[in-house]
Amino acid sequence: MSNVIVQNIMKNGTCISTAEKVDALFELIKGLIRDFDDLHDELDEEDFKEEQSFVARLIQMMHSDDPEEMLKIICTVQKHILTGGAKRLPFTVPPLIFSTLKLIRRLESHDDSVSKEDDSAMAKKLFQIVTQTIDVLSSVPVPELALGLYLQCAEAANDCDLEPVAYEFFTQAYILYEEEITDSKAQVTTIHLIIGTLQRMHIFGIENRDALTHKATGYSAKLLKKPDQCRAVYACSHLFWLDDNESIRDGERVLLCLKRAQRIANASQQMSNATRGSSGSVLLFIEILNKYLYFYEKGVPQITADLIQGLIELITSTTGGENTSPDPAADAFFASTVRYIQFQKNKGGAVAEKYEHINI
Amino acid sequence: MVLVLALGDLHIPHRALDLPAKFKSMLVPGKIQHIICTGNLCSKEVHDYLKTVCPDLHVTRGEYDEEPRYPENKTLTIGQFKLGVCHGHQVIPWGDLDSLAMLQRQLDVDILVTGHTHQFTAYKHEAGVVINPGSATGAFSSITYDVNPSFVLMDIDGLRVVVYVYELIDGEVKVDKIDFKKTAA
Repeated sequence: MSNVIVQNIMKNGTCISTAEKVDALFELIKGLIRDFDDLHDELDEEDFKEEQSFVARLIQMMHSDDPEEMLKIICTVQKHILTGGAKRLPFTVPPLIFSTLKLIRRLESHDDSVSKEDDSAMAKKLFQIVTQTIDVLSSVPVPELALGLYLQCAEAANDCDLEPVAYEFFTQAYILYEEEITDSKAQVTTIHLIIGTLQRMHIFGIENRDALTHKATGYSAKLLKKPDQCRAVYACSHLFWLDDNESIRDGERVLLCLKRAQRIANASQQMSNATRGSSGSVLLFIEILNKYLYFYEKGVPQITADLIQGLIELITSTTGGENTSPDPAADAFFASTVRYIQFQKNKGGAVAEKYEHINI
Repeated sequence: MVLVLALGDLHIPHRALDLPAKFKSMLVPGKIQHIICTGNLCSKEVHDYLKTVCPDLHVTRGEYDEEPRYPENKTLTIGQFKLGVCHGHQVIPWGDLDSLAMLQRQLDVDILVTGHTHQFTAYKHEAGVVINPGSATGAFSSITYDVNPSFVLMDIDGLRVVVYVYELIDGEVKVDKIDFKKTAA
């Protein structure tokens, strides 16, 4: 019965635009929102997913253009979905979070200086709501989803210039990473989300930023597999040199990251030697070389042509060595890198000058 | 002439309800030979729907996709072109064209299709093209403000590919295109 109602609303495409109507609708579809012992249907997993997917879409349709009314709607939705239990929360929480983030962004884009104080107060209230709601996901638990949502909120707080709020979201994300994300594949994905989000933050002062980057680099170096460690560590190099922010340009730390990545790549090679009798692939070194080229072109003073030349020579000598197993993927990557260097040399002007001292 | 649909970041049902009706009416089964999807569908219904548009569907894993069989990246050859697909949350800084070009070199492809930023881009450089079809549903993104729904259709013909981008702006579908010709290998 509730399914029919839901489908009809969606076909008509109308918004459910007041908190009162939202309340009424949730009452109507209460069978979908929480368990009732006597009316409990045994749905198979696919049907249950489809049903909750409907509810998620309905939540997206609960919208008002008036911020005050929208805040009431958000509170009403929150009230209802929090009774849903562990199975439903992963479906119903995300759409509520994103509806809230959309409202926050609308408030933040208001140019009107008259309502600025009210907007700011409302934004803070909305951030409290998202925090409470994501916190509830720990009862399921779905740490990867929760962590991803915390990072989304951190970006929103960054856009609103709310440094303590953004820092708190990162703290919660890091706690989840340390305590709940144990699967090595999940760790790799999650660490890239953390680094990628942190790279975009402009709000943090030096101390806060240092604390967060230090942790992120630490997590990267402790991933299970050496190639994953290497890649995450060189990704961290981007935390220390921002194109659009002159105050975050620390060539020394960029170089430290790349050198650390290179040491890990070395260790990976040695392990390969020890366990398989062949020195494995030079793939990681070629990736690091490309990162050196990236920062060299950005003008990072610590990244010199000599360093790059040294790495090129290391790659060519290792590839030619008798102990190295052939790797067509690595060869193709090195060939395309060499082609790229050649393109840059042929460009003329300042770019070609930079590449003059690099021999291939 | 081979038609390849490239789209992604639909985020159904977390952030979007469905593809825009005007897009759905254009995606007629039987007209497209291949579909490349950058990821973040995020549900099985979307996967099944895309399969009805074209059975040759290639999907890479976005950070919100739960399907364990979607790979982190994929390469395929269509006619004279080598294509690479990756969601893009793995390439940092996100949306950075030089870092994406590095991935392109690594996968050794002419055309790299990535997503994640929900921002349509087509970046031509000496070694090929980097394409981001944007979000097909206009889903909310922390990276891009004011996302318009968009997708890309590539017409591959010999050594030439025409990249058409379809964007839904204020209720109307706008089309733009760029040409790319590769030098014979």
